Amino acid sequence: MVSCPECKGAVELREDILASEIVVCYACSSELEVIAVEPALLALAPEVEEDWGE
Amino acid sequence: MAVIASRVRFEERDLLDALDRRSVDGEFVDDRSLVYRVGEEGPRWRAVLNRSLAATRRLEISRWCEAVGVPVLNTSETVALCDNKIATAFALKRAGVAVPDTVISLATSSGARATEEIGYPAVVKPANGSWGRGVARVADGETAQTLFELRAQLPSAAQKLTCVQEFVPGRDLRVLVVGGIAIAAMVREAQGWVRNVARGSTVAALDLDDSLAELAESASAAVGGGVLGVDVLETDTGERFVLEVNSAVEFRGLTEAHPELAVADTIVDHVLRETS
Repeated sequence: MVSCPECKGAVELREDILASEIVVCYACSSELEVIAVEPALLALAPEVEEDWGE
Repeated sequence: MAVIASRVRFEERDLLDALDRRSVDGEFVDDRSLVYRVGEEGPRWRAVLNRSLAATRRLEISRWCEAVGVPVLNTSETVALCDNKIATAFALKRAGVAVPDTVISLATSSGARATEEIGYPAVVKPANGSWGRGVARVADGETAQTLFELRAQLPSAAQKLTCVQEFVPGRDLRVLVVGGIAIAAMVREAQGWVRNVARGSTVAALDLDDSLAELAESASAAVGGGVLGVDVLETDTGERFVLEVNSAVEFRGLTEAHPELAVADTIVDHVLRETS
């Protein structure tokens, strides 16, 4: 369990979580990015950039 | 095998898990971390799945992989053709694939002339961009003038290149094509006329008929093939046009529409076959 940086709710992460992986906090619906894995640390996912997409 | 991406989203996680299920080492590489010397050997990856979110980085990743002799999906040629709507339109037209009537303007000062040529309502799209960003339906010349005046103020020069297309009402279809073969299709539905899944549209499974499969496969071939999402507009009379081809196809929506379909496994199997 890691704390959501937005609402402090508990976010469950899979064991093999990767840095840069995107997870969602089900308490506040924030999109979060894993910025470190040992120990796991979350930050709000970055805003969409101009050239992002499919 | 490397999965080079900007973020590990549903798709990248699914691809890494599919590699794992096949006991293939899958390495996630953050595209923001890449630094490489021109002329130097690259990593000894069997292949690269280029999943960069950023179109500018996506092209460079494929170009680098090709320079160091690592097979990459998609190729730089395909990425370049798909990530520029003007290039896509020319490639599709050249291949005889049905596209809506399209007029290009290279400066915002001539944008309204392009919409006049198409007639109203016209769809105005920046040449670069995805997820329906910056796409506008313009009802008349006055609105077009205002839109282009606003776009003139954008700092990005690339955003001033414009694709203007006739507005064709109809259903919005998406077909996934892997290695030249159409795999599955879905319909995207939304309240508005812009129906990208990234903007929250809902999806429903669609049977892939022969003619839709053939259209999507032709569009795929026109841009050089690979793993692609082909966007098709279908009118009430059944006429179909290819709108866009996506080189870093997202497949969360398709997986929702077709839970029986293992999309990531299909992609991974294709790459393994191609590089065996």
